[in-house]
Amino acid sequence: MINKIDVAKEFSARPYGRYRDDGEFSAQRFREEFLLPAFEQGLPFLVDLSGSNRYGSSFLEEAFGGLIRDGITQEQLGLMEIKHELLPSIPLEAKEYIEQAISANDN
Amino acid sequence: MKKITLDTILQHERQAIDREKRRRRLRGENRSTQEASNNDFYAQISNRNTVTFDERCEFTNSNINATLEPILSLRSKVESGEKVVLDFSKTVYCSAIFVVYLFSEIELLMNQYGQNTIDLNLYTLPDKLKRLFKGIGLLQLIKTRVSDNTSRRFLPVTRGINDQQLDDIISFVIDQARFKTDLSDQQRARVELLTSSAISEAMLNVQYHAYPTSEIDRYWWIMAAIIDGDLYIALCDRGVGIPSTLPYSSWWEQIMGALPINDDAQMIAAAMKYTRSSVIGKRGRGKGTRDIQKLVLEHKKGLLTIVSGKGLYRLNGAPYEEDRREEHFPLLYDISGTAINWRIPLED
Repeated sequence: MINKIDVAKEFSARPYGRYRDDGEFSAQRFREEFLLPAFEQGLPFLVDLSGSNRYGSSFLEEAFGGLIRDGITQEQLGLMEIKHELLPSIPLEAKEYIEQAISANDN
Repeated sequence: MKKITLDTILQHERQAIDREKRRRRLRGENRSTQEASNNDFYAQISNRNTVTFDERCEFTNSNINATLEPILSLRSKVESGEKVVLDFSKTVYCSAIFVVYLFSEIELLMNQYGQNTIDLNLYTLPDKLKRLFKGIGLLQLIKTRVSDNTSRRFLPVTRGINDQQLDDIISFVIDQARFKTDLSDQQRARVELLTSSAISEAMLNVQYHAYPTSEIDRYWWIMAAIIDGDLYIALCDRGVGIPSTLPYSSWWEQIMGALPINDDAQMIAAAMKYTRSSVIGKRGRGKGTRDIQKLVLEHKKGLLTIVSGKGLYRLNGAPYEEDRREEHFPLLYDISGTAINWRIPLED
């Protein structure tokens, strides 16, 4: 069975901000405490964003675009699947930020 | 302190004015009694100077300068040690963005110069404004003994420093939206996403940019209200203003040279246009500005108003670019901060 990170249950239904200084449930904390450890295991995993509808652009960019800045490779990104039951625009936006971070990295 | 109703306070003030009128009549001051308005009486018996607000207090191109003048006068008088009474007897309309800005100004002045420096003439305050001022908590700020708001149509102004109160605002918006129309789970989720991302990104902008030299007091003030079937959410800060911070943005140099930028209003408009349409710099800064616009862009009749520094910007929302309308106007006065208002129709 694929590993799953249920963001609303395991992290917070009220994610807010980019950096740890911004608040308790920041993107930086989510990336460092949930996403990066999941990549370290080297197994496929699902990031389930359902259960919260409060993902601002800053949070999504820092959580997912920040993976590239932290050195996650495109090959590793293949391990991660992102979904939101009600709002598919949210995983699409997260993927857009990953693409933009890759593009910025290449330049 | 025991809270009492607005009517009781009003009754006390009316009695005080009537007593003063009787006293003057007995002293043979009939002529001045007839000529003096109730407003003058209130100022005289409370030994205060009056600041009179305009007929329409709103941040629109035609009225913003006349709306700001009494606020500047209020600040100037309080700073010079005068006690002031606010007079809204001529006012027929106050916009949400104006009242949240006024609230922030009064709270800052009271914190610095004392609670007793500012009073409000309830006697001549129109009934519609009494309901509004009570609903958003302005009466309770000035007249500390007035009992709290119980209206479902208003979420009182609150002051905060991060995402505090976001839950209250979102719940209010969802409740009001549900009250007006049947929302599916997906629609409800969409309303929550658009509202929370717009507000939280505006709050983050305050945290990141508004108070660059201050380690404390990175405050914003926020309120929400339903007025004539439209949802209003207004947020303001008293920081340095958007035009002062834009030149430090990583993407600002990409705008410079591409657009005519000669004043604060053009700076705000350029930033809005650029962040709406472009892939932004390395860390994606500026995306939050896009979220702030998204809330109205998806509504045909949505209106976003931003006043910052000496600039006014308005964006009439619509799903398609060709239907959108943007305006920007330079102002005579610097508002010392930023005020943002979203107006969202709850019914088509």
